[in-house]
This record gives sequence, structure tokens and C-alpha cells, in this order.
Amino acid sequence: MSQSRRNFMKTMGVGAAGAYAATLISTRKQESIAFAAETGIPVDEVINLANNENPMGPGQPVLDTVIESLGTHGETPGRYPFMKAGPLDDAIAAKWNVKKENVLVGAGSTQILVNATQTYTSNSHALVGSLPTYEECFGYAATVGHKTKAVPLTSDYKMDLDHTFYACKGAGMLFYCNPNNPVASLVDPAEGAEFIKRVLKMNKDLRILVDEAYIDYVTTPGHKTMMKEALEDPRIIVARTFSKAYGMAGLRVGYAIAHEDTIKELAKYNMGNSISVLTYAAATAALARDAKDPSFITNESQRNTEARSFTRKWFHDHGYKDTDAQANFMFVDVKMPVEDFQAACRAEGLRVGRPFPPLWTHCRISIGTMDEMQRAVKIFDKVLSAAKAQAA
Amino acid sequence: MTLTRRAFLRTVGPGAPSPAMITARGREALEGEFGVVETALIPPPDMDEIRISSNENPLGPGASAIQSIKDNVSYSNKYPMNSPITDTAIRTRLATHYDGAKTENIVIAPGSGEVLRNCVRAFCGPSRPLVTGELSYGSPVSTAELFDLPVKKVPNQADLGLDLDKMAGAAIGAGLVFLCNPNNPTGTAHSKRAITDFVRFVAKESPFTYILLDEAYHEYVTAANYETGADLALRYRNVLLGRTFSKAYGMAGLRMGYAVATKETAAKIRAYKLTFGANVLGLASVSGSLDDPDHLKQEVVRNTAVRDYTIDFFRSNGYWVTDAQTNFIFVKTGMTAKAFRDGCAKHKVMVGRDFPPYEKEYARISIGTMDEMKRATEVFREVLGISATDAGSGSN
Ligand SMILES: Cc1ncc(COP(=O)(O)O)c(C=O)c1O
Ligand SMILES: Cc1ncc(COP(=O)(O)O)c(C=O)c1O
Repeated sequence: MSQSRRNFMKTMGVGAAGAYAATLISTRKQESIAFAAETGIPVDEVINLANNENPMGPGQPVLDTVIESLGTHGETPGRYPFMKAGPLDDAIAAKWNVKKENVLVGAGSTQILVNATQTYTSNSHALVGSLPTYEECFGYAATVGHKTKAVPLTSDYKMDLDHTFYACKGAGMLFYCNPNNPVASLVDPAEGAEFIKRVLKMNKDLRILVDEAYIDYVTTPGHKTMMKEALEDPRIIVARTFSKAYGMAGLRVGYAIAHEDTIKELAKYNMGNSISVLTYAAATAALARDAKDPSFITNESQRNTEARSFTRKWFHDHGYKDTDAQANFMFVDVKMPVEDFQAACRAEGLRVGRPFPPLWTHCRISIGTMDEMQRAVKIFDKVLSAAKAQAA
Repeated sequence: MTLTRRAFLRTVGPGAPSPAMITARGREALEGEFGVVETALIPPPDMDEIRISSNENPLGPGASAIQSIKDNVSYSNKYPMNSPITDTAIRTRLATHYDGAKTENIVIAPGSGEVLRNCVRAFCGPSRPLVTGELSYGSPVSTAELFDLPVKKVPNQADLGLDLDKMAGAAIGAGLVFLCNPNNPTGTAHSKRAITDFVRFVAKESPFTYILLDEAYHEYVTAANYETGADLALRYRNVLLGRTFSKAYGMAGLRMGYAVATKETAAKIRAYKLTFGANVLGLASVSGSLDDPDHLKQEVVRNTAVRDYTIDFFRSNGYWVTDAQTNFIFVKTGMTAKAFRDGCAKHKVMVGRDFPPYEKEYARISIGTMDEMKRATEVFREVLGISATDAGSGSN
């Protein structure tokens, strides 16, 4: 049994929801260690299906704007960015038809997640989320000593709304990651809407952070953003990012949409300005393009859906079960320890997701270009056949 | 008038402070001091304006940095750890600048401001105050206030330098001493000897107190007895060094800074780091800058010449100026900072905000290009009422 597995079992033994949370935190650390180890690999030689990045990027016109924004002699970066913030706030407000008092921009949606956790959880008011889910909020809560409760997913890898409901009693904030990373699943739209109403009625002080990082990739009919609810109810916050469909993970920008009172509370902890002038230029340019022609995002979503369907079909055809992926990644049971699967793929120049305990045989595979996925399935075939041959 | 400018004027409306005045309050007034930038109140830049309010580098980074940004822009879609220039690679490279440092001794931050915030968060507590100079960079105080942490402010010396003896006394039992060397807004710097003595004293008398040595303006110092305290940060568990690419490197807009500390101490502030904080183009720009050390040298020579020119203007007209070692100076104008600022703003010269308790007679002026400072000193002459011929008769 691997060391991490043994540690995990020990944690499980404790049994309480708090113990699950400890697992999330230690995997977060594992992730950064893995990243460090990876720095020796030239990026251009690797198919990276490990980090849910958009292989297409933000589009040439946006990149051109970034270069133009350097100024004739490259002087613009000498100045602090604070004059560039207003136009992006305005552009986001215009896009969603909200006031700019409803918008808070952060250095990645990461900053929004951290601020919300800081603001709405404490050592007595827990952070509640799924196990597994995206770890940022849990990691931050651990750093500052705030209480955490993690609720295991249902057997079909969806958020367990009933158990989450009970975990939210007396809690400070629910991290509602939909679609959920790493499992790619979406809450049924009608059930989700009903759950949010019900849980906010049960705990009047609860805040819900709806993380919509992957919403542009959802193909489930009837799924909607929670922005409307967030504008009406100060207890709901929607987090969005430019890292996924907008293709700007490296530029570090995301935002919150919420009631103006909530934005004020969050802004208090938005310490300092960590956003580059070039990032402001890129995000503002992308939204200006959207305003004229919204097809960039719909095209990107469609491109992803095709490559995702292709990859999922390959796994189905070969007898592997996956979740109903609604993001730019999928989650599949490779029927072998995911650490081994990961290492074998890596030896072939392909990076896939790391283990997400307690799901030891499931792999998170980000969706690259169709070409990359066609190359990837050949590697999957090789790796999985070898594993089967060995088992036989 | 551009659309954004018009939108700005509408937002502010009649009776609100003028755009020029808001600019003149400087970045720290908006951000460092209050924590939140009121973006609605920030006007777009005016091309004729001389912005000498925020200790920025008017020229930006060098050609090698700009080229590196261009070369790496196509990696904007990658998280920093997957871009060709990772933050680990930059840490490893920076470590080579410090004797005995390894990658683990460097913490990258989206601007050194994060280092300052995280030191306060990591080392101060309800019974472990922040110790800082009364007239020093205000951001650590803002962080302490945000988290309800106690602050002890030590008055500056007569030359407006930090009072190291009194700060050492105040350090006993403190969580963190913020030691800004050279100090913002006074520009004064202490000798290596004085800093070393300070560190030794605190390490001995109050071993659980941390010291953040903020050397944001390090590259600009010309005083012979000054030297970096990086070796202290690597030798003493309780010392951290803060550095930035915002000043001499000309990258304030790209948000890159870092800390140097022992492995254990680095880990303590790393825990509070914003995940994926440093952006790929900032990392690329740092890499390009480090390839061209000559550019940095030239920038320092340029700044020194313009600083000398500006200091000389004031001194030859009888005004007292601190011994500024930075890309800004602190001048006893004899009028309120506000009157001086508003007077200059009328001529589109934007100087620093109020620095209480010295706002009644002092102003902070950042160093622009020689051309800008020649124009600015003409404006100062007018605002201060110095006639072209009566050099030496200014207030003192
Ligand atoms: C669900 C979710 N939320 C937030 C983030 C943070 O993204 P960023 O800070 O790049 O916006 C991620 C990143 O992968 C994510 O998966
Ligand atoms: C002394 C000092 N330290 C730190 C900073 C923060 O700079 P940055 O976050 O741009 O590195 C400043 C900015 O003006 C400063 O004056």
C-alpha cells in the first residue's frame, strides 16, 4: 500500500467529516510538490491533460492587444495597474448587465475563493464542501485554522445534497463547485435550485459560494448561472474565471458577482493589487470582443464538447466507466491505481491528473485539442492493455 | 475626451475631488492605506501629466524584458507551473544572486506587497504587535488593522530616518518589526553595520520576534555604507528580506516581488501565498531582465542623475531635503502637502499624498525622467513662489 494510501486510511478511521477535510488539505500539498518535480520537462513536448487548461488560448487578437498595451517603448509596465482596473469592472458589469458594485475582480478566481473563505468561515463557522472538490477553500481554511466539513459524493459521483444539507447546519459557507472539479459532474439543475432555497432557509446565516469556473463547458439542458439569485440574495456569491474557456490561466484573473453589500465585505480582504496591467488589457479586450461577437466562447465550448465526446466514447468502447463530464475535463475509472496510470502515461510524454482520494482508480483527464486526444487515446490503449496483460 | 475619461467624470460628479487630485493622492493612499482601490475614483491617464506620485519607474523594463514578454505571450493559457518560465525556475535563478541561497529560500509574490502582508499575518498576533516607524511604508499597518492586530509606531529621528535604537526597544515581545531600508517615504537608508547590530540585538533579546527587511529600493541606493541584508535573512531564522521588480526593474504593472529567508521561515509565509499568484508574463519579464544586468545599471545611473538634479534644485533654493537614496525624495516645502500637491496638479504635475504626521510641511516627490523633472521643477518654483533669481530665500 502506498504511503499516501496508508495515511488516507488512517484519516478515514477517525470517521468524522472533519477527517475527510484533512485529506483534501494534504492532497493540495502533494499537488504543489508534483508541480515542482515537473519543471524539468519542456512544455512543448508534453501533452498536458493534467491542469484543465484551455489548449487554444484567448485568441490572437487578445494576445495582440497585450503586446500593444506594452506601449511604444515598453513603458506601460513601469506604472502600477490601478488605473486599469476601472475599465475591466465596467466591462464585466456590462457583460452581465449588473452594476459595477456587483463585481469584484481578483487575481484568478482563486483570490475570490480565498476571500470568501476568509470572510465567511471561522473556527466556529465551518466551510462545507464535497469530497473531493477543488481544494483552494479547504487549503486556505486549514492555513488560517477555520473549521471544515467535507461531504463524500454520492455513488454516482455527484454532490450529495442531502448530506450536504445536514453539514450546513451552523456552517459559515458552502463551497458549491458546479460543475465540480475533479469529478466533472453537475448537480441536476432543478434539484440544485431547490436545494439552495432549502438550505438557505434552514441556515439563515449560511453563505453559498457558487464556483462556475467551468460553466461555459456545460452541455446539460436547463443549466443556468446562479448570478440572478446572487444579485437578489446577499448570501449567494458567484465566482467566475478567465482561466478556462477564455484561455488565460497564466494571466491570473477572475471575478465575483454578488449583491453589492457582499462585494463590499469581500473587497475588504482583496488585499493589494496582484493583477498585471497586461492581464487587465487581455481581459478587457476579450470582453470587448464578446460584446461584438459572442461566438468565441460558444466555439470554444463546441470544440471542447467534440474532443470530450470523442475521448469519452473511446473509454466507453473499451469498457471503462466515467462520470457525465460537463467541463473541459473528464473523470474515468481506469480500473488500476491512478498513480500507476499517471506514471505510465507520463513515461509516454502525456500528463494526466493526479490521484483524488478517496477515488484511487479514477483519473481526471483534461480535454486537449482533438489532435491531442487522438494521440492520447493511443497512449491510454497502450497503458491500459499492458496493465490488463499484467493482471491476467 | 476618451470614453473612459468621460465615464469617469460622470461617476465622480460635481463636488467630488478632481481627477487630478485623486491621481495625486498616489497609489498607496488608494491601496496600501485603505486596502481597497476605489476604481470608480481613478481617472484614466492624461498624456501630458507628469506622474511623480507613486515611486514608479517612468521608463518601464528594458528591451530584454519586453522581448521575453513577447516571446511568452502565447503561453498565456498555461498555469504558471506549466509555462516555459515557471516560478520555480525564477526562484532557482534568484537564489544564485545570494550566497548560500537555494530555491527553497525564495518565495515569489505578485508584488512584494504580498510578502509584507503575509509577514504580518504569519508573525503578528493579538499579543504580538507589529513594530514600524511612524513615517514608513504604510501597507503592513493596513494589514495589521484589517486583522485587528496591534501596532506600535516608533517616531522617526530628526533626520527622518528610522530610529533603530527605539525600534529595537519596541521590538521586545513583538511579532514583527517592519524595517524599511531605504525607508519610504523618507528615502533614508541605514548602514549595513546598523542593520546588523539591530538584527543581533533583536535575535538575542527577543528571539521570537521576526524582522522584515524591506529593500524595495535597494538598487537605487548610492550611500557607501549601505549594503543588502540578504546574508542576514539567510543566516538568522527570524529575518526575512523583501525585494521587488516594481522599482528599478520597472515592472510595477507586472506584479513581481519576492522574499528571501531560511527554509523554515520561508515556509511560514508561503502558507499564506495566493495560489498561482505570479502571472506568466511577469515571470517572463523577470527572466528577460535578469538576462540584461547592464540595463539595471543604466537605470540606476539615470535615476541618480535626475535625483541629484532635483535635490539640488531644492537645496540650492534653501529647502531641506532628506538624504534620499531612492527614486523619490522627501522635501520640507514649508507648506501643507495638500496645498503643494493641488498647486502642482493645476500644472499637471502629480506629486505624493499626505504622510501624516508630516503632512503640514513635507512632500514626497518621485523621480521621473530628466525631462519631466526639468518641467516639474519649473512648476515647483511657481507653486513655492521661488523667483528665478532669489535662490536661497525659500522657507527653511
Ligand atoms: C473549480 C475551480 N475553481 C477555481 C479554480 C481557480 O482558477 P483560477 O484561479 O485560475 O481562476 C480552479 C482551477 O483549476 C477550479 O478548478
Ligand atoms: C517600501 C515598499 N515596499 C513594498 C512596496 C510594494 O511594492 P510592490 O508590491 O509593487 O512590490 C512598496 C511600494 O511602493 C514600497 O514602497
